[in-house]
Amino acid sequence: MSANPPGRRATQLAVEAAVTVAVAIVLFPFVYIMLTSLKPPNLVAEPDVWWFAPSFANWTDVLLDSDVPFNILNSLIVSTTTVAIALLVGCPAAYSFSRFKSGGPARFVILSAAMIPPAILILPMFLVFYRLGLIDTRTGVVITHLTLVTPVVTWFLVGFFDEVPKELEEQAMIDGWTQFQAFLRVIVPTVRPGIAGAGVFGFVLSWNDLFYALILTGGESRTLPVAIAGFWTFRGIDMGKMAVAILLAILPILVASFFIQKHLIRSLGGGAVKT
Amino acid sequence: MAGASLKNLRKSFGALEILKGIDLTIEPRQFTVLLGPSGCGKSTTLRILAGLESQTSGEIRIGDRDVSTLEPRQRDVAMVFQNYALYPSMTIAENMGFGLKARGIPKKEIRAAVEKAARMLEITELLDRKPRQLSGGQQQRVAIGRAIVRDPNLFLFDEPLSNLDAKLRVEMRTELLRLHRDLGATTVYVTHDQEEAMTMADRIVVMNAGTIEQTGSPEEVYFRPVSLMVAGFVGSPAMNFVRGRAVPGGVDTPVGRFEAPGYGGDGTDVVVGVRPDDLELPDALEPGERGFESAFHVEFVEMLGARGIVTLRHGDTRFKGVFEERHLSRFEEGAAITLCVSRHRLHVFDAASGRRLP
Amino acid sequence: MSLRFRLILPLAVMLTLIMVYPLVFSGWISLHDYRLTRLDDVRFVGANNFTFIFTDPPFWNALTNTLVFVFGAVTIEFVAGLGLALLLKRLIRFENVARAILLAPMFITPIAVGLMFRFLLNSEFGVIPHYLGVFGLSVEWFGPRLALFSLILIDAWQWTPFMILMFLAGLEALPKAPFEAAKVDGAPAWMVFWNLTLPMLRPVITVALIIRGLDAFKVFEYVYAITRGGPGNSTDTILYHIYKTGFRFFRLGEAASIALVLVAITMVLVVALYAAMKRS
Repeated sequence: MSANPPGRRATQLAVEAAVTVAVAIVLFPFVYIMLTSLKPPNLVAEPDVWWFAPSFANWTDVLLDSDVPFNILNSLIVSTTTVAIALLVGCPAAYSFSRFKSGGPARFVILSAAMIPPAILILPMFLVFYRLGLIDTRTGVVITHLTLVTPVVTWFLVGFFDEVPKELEEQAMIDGWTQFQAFLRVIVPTVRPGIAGAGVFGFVLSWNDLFYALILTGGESRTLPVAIAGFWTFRGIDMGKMAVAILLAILPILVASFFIQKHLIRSLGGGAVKT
Repeated sequence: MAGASLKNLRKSFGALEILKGIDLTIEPRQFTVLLGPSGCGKSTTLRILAGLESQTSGEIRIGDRDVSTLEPRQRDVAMVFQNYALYPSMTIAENMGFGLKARGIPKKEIRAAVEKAARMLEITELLDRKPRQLSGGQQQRVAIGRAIVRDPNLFLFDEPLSNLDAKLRVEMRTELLRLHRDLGATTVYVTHDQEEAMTMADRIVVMNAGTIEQTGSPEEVYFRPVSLMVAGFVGSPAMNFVRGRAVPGGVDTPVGRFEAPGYGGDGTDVVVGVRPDDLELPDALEPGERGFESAFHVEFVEMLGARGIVTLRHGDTRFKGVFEERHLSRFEEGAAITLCVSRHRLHVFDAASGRRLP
Repeated sequence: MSLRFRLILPLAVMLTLIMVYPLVFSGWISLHDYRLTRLDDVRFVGANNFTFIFTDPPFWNALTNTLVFVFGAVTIEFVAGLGLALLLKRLIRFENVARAILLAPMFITPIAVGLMFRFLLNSEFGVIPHYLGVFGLSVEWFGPRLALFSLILIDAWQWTPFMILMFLAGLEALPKAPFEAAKVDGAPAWMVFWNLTLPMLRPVITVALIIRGLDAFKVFEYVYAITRGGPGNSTDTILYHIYKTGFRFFRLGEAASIALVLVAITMVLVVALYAAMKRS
């Protein structure tokens, strides 16, 4: 489109204006929370103060003088463990579903599992964990998060494996490898970007969960979302510190999301929404 | 180098019978081409030979081993796929050495074997690249190189050239033939392209609907096709056919009478086949040699360069003929022309069974 | 055992332990008068829990609120998402940056989103009511009339990106030829959209609507972060209702029956989703 007639230019400007408005709506809350986190405590509740000497009191309070670093550590451990197990279990199964066309039933089960409401699982989980002494432990949270993450990750992986031409593993089998070796040495490396994308997605799911963690953790094993929720109770709020905690929860996820966005678009277009 | 054989090979998917009893001996060091239209079972035959699919019944031997129930990795065959199937995560050198690695060959020896094959194919400078950085033609060479490195009992090719453009395809054909001559490797090559089969094969196996129609040298398949199917499938442009009735000493057809001396007609329905190349101008054949002579209208002429394809009509029957460029001036569109065919170049088939009549 | 099943085995065992077993256990709980406060006195009550919840006004209130929430949120997200995806496609400059920003909200911790908006929309010190006040507008965002609607808007802020993502993927996968043909034929933009883009996107649209609907049914964080079901019970949603019944009032039997109703609704949608995916 080298020619640029005035009509097309006007449309382009209109498109840019509309997108700019949408971008502003998305960005405004972040910017405002960022500003709030830097406000000295006496200005936090003053919405029309935009110029002030930035104070890092909120940041140092939260990072040095609160449980939030421990909550972050809990969240990191829970999410990483969850994703690692989900990938380890999901990868071979997804490959089997894709390669052996266990098509219909298996895929339907995975989809159903991915969509099952957490409310139905938490009641028995709570009772069983109570018996096993898993209440308020990271292990307990990991187990519940596996129900959240594994089916979704498996679903994505089936889509990725579907895209690998079956000649690749046939070639490897003719080359002298068993089918399992072909899976490990040829197929897994081939879909590595997809596995990474699915892993990040699963990490985000686990990292963001409030429902399970809220019910299962109280002290020791509190994850970051539960901690954030605790900043605003009926007893009162500390908005400045909450802003810091919110940013701490959001930032790593935002960074990760930029890496997987392109990938998600491609994989959704390529297979993850088809069966 | 070993040969291979298939004995009464059958394959069905549920009620659908893909292979209906294939018996085939593949001679050592020969270049055997499985030729046929899509869906004829040629690829399935190759894949069963490789062990990628299991036969419903029948026996497969490679060399003197019965491999019927062995895994692909135990059969010591190499295969080149239509889409090359290069491992995207590995470099070219790793791709080529992956088969030797499976056999636990030391790294040094693998490297040496890979480099030797790379030199043969002139792809040495590609060894450290990844497959996606290569053109289609280069990927093709790597796929072939990967097979050569293995030094297998049997080379299997599944339509390896059909993803290449026309010019490259012809080049690779020559290259493959050169390699085959140098290595003397037993090769089974699947294609639907009859020209590829004719130029490359020592032996052509024409398949149709799950059975073998004919096995023979390119000359045999071309000059003495055993059935209407083979006659129509091999040769381009395709053989002209006309239905007729067998009478003593020949065949009466709508385009005229064919003299077929070796064949005592008894009134049955037959089909006569004439290759476009075998239609001649009357001055090219002695009168005694002519087995057919008739007048045609020239409908149109397609110029191909040194030759031209002429579409001819007699009544409702259309024939195609191939003539050299210097004769084409005699085929003016709309004009009438008399053409003849040598009595040795006639093909007569039983209309009901499609089999060649002696 | 064949490789096919050996590969599936770990997943099968795991899902049986952590999903199938709890599901069955839940079914069992739902047939009992099962209270956390009286664990030694669990009595079989048959379908009593179900007959109770189906005549229980708070349950119907939560279900109605959830349906309104799902319908409102998904509609807004669909329209905004499709519009923004199309706009992004037409953007020549800054397409990558704009897309990255517009997709970002869907990745963010929902509880953080809830608290962010609770702060931004707070009637005493929230920045949005403050500046609306400058224009003489006084909006009680979390008052009895608007609370559910505000939650819908917050959901739309967070999840419109999901629709954008789905539609960008769908648009990316469309074949180019029909659109070039339409251009050659001189079809106006609205006609191309109505007769080509929309019908060709239909499978993706169906899938996106169902997935988003399924997810919206599970809304919990915004309610927990902002309204806790109030004012009154105007924002009580199914999941929050189950949470309250089970873990505030400890009536597990009743909570399990409500959860089973939610599962039933979910399964209907999953079957529809699966069929839609199969077609695409």
